[in-house]
Amino acid sequence: MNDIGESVFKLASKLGAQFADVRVCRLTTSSVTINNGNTKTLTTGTESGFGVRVLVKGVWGFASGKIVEDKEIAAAMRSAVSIAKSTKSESRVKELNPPSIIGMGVSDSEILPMTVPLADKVALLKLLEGTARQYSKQVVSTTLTYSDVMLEEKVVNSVGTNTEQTVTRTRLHLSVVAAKNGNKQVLTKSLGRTAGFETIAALTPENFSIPTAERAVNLLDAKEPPAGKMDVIMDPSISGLFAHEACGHGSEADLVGGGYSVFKDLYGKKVAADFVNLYDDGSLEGCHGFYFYDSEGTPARRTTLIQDGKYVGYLHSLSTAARTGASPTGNARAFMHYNLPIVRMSNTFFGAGRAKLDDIVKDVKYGLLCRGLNWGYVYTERGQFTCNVQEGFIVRNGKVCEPVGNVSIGGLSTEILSNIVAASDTVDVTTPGMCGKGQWIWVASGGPHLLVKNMTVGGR
Amino acid sequence: MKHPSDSILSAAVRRGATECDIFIERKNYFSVSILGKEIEYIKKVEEAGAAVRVFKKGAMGFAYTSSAEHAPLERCAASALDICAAASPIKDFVGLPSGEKPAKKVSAFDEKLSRISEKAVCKLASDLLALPDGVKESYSLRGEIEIVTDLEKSLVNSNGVKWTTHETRVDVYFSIKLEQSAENVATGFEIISGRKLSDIDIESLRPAIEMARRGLNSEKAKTDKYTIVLSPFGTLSLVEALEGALNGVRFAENSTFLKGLEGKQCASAAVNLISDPTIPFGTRSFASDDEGNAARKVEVIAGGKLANVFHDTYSASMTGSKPNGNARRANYKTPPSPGCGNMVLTTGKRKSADIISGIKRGILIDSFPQINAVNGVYSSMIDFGWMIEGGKPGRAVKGSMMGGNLLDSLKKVKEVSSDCRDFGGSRMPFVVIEDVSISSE
Repeated sequence: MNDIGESVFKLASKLGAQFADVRVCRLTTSSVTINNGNTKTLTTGTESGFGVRVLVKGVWGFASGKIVEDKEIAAAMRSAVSIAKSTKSESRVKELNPPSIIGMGVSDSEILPMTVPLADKVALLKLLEGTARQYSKQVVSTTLTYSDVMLEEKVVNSVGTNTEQTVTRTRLHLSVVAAKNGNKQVLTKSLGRTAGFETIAALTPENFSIPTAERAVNLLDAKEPPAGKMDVIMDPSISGLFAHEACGHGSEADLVGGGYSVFKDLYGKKVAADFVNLYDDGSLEGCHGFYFYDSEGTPARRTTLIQDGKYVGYLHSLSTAARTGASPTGNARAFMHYNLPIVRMSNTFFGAGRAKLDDIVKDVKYGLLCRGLNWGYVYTERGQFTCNVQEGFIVRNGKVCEPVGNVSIGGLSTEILSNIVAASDTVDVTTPGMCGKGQWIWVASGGPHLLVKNMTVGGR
Repeated sequence: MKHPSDSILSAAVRRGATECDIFIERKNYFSVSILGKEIEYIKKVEEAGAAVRVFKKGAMGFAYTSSAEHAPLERCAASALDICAAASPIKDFVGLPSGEKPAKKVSAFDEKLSRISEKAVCKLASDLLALPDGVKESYSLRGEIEIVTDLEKSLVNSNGVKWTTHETRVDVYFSIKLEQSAENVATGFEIISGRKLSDIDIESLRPAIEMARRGLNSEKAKTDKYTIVLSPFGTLSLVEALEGALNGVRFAENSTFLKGLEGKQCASAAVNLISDPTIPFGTRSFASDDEGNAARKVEVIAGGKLANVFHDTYSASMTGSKPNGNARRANYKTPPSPGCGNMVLTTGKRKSADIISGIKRGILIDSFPQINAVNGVYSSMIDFGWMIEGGKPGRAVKGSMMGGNLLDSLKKVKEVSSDCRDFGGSRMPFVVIEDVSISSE
C-alpha cells in the first residue's frame, strides 16, 4: 500500500496535534446468492480510502478522503484539527504515548477466493443449495449466500507505528424454510472463517446442507415452549452469543467509562463460579474475528475478562487505556476508512469447563436444551439480555425429550453469569458474526455448553 | 456530478447486455458520538462511489467501485458483464423502466441544512451534552447525531432513464441512563428525524429524561394475557417489523408469513397502512425509486386486507407483478431491493388518553419485539413498558417477555388512536392489541 510521508505528521504537530494517525484501507468483496435453484445475485466490488485522526488537547478530530496522496491527507489533517479545536469538550486524554509498532501480516489462505473460477464456485454452491431444497417436499424455500472479503489495512502514526495487514475471510449462510399444514419454520446455518475458499470447498451435502434441511423439517413438529423460569443448557453458539452480547459489550472500556455498562463497578469482584472464564482473543488464527493488528496498530492478543469467576479485564483502545492507566489490548477496530477506531470485540468465548455434556444433561430434572441461535441483543447499561434460539428440547429427568420451537431466553447478564452451574469440557469458537456499534466489524463467538439455572424462557 | 458517459452503457449492450444501469452516489456528512458526559468524536466525511448492473434476459451481474471516474466505471461494467454470465435468466423479466417520469417534484433538500458549519455542528453536540443539566439523579448519556449536508444520487439506464437528486437529512438519537443504585437503573430515549435545519430542536429530546425517571423502580408483570397499548414508538417498531415481511422478494421466495394472504384479511378492519414517498421533506420521500420507477403512494393494508406489497424489478418479475416504485438501495455498494416510503398508519376516532383511561389492566409498550418474518412469531423481553392499572400508566415493567404471532396480533387490533406522532414523514398513532401473552416467573 502507499507510503505515508513524514511531512503529514510534521503538519499535524505544527497545527497543534499531540498525536495523529492515518489509516488506509481497501476492501474487495464478492458474493453469490442462490435461491430455489436460481443464481439470483452476483456481486463484486472494491472500496478504498484513508482516515485521519488527530488528538488536540485531549479531543479527537477525524476526517477522511479517497485519494491516498500526501496533499489529500494533509487537507484531511487540517480538517480534522479544525474539528478537534471546535469541539467544546473537557480534555479527555491527558497524554497518549503508545509504543511504536512495526509489522506486517497476511492471513493464511490455501485457496485465495479470487483465484477460484466463478463457474466452479457457483457449481459447488448450487450443489449445496440444491441438496437442501431436495431433502423433502416440506422444504419450500432455500437461500444460500456466499461471500468473500479481503481487507488490506495500513496504519501509520506520529510515534512511528507502521503496520500493514491483509486479511481474507469467507462466509456461507444457508436458510431453509419448511412448511406443513400452514405451519412455517426456518432454520439457518452459518459458517465463516478468516481463511480462503478451502473452508467452502470442504463442505458437502452430508456435512452441511442435508443436516440443516433435516433440522428445519423437524422443527415443524416442535411444540410451543413452556413460559417461565427454567434450567437452560446453551449450546456453544448460544453461550457465544451470551459471551459477546451480555458480557463482551459490557467489557468494552468506552462503554464502561461512559457509564453504559453493568460491569462498571464489578472489576475485581466475583461474578461467576470458579470454573467460569471468559476471553476475547483477536489472535486466534482462522476465527472469523482474527486480525494481526487493530486499527491503531496495536497487536491483537488474548484478553482475559473473567478468570476463575472473577471479573479481571476490560477491552481497550489507546485512548481508553491512556485514561485509565491500563495497557492497550488491541481492540480498537474500524470498518472502513471513513470510520474511527473504537473499542470492539474480536473472538469472544467462555473457556472450557470440566463436565461432559452427557453428565450435564443427566443432572437436569426439568429444563431446556437450546441449540442454534437466531438473534440476540443486550442493553449494556441495564444488563438486560434476550436471545431467540433455533431449536429447543425439553430435558426431563436427565433425558432429552420432545422438541420445542420459537423459544426466547433472557435475563439480567450478572444474574445469568452467577447462575452458570456447569460448563462442558470442549469449546467451539466458530460462530461468525458482524457486530454493529455504529459500524460493522467481523467477529466470532463461542464457548462450551453452559448449564444456567433459572433463566426466563418465553414462548407464546 | 455529471452523469456517466452513455458510452459505458452502449459498450455493455454491444458486449451482450440486454439492459444495464449505472448508479452514482456521493454523501457528505457530519457524525457526532456522545458517551458518558463527553463528546467522543466529531467527524466530517465524504463517501462516494458507483455501481453498474448488467442484465442478460434478467440474469444480473453487479459491480461497484469507490471511484466514479470513467475508467473505473468501465472496468466495473466489464466485471458486471463477466459475472452476469453465471447468473440465472428470469423467464418473465419485466425489464428496467424506460423513460418513466418521476413523481412530481418531491422536496428532500434543505439549503440551510446543506450549509451548516462545523462550528454549528460542534455547538449542537455541546447543546445535547448540556440537555440534562440540573438532573439530580446520577446519569450517563449516549447520543449520536448524523447530519447529511448533501446526498447526491444519479441514475442512468440503457432505456433512457436519467436523473439526479439531492437530499439533506438529520438524525439524532439521545439516550440517558439514570441510576439510583446498581439494581435500580433505567434508560429513556428520544429521536429527531428530518430533512431540514428547522427540524433540529434539541429541547424536543427532553422527554427522554422523564421516560428514564418513569423506568426506575420497575417490577415484573405477572404471567398472563394482557391488553397491550403500543405508543407511537411501539407502533413504529411494529410497522418496521412488518416491512420485512412485506418485501416482495420474500413473496417470490416463499419466506414470509403473509404469502397467500394477498387480497385477504391479515389484520383487523381498524388497520389501514399506506406507504407514501411523496410527503414533502419526509425522510423516506423520493421522486423516483433507485431503479428509475416513479415513486407513488401504495396502499399496503386497507381495512385489514393485504392490498399490496413492495416490489422491485426482480420480485415483480418472479411474482408476475409490476414494479411499484419501491426499489431502494442502502448505498451504492448494494443492489436494489424492495423498500418503502414514509409509512402512515391511518388514525382512529378516540384520543389515546381516552383509550387508556378505559383499560383496567394492560401494558403500555414503547418497542415491539423483532419478528420471525417467515412465520410471524415474536418472543422477546419487553424493553420499555409500563403497567396500566385502572386506566392509568403506572410502574415500569422489567424482566418480562411478550410473545405471540404477529398475524394473530394484527387481527386482534381493537383500536387505533386519533392522535399520532410524526417521525419525519412516517406517522404512527397508539395501537391497542388484545390478549397478548406475557411471561416472567
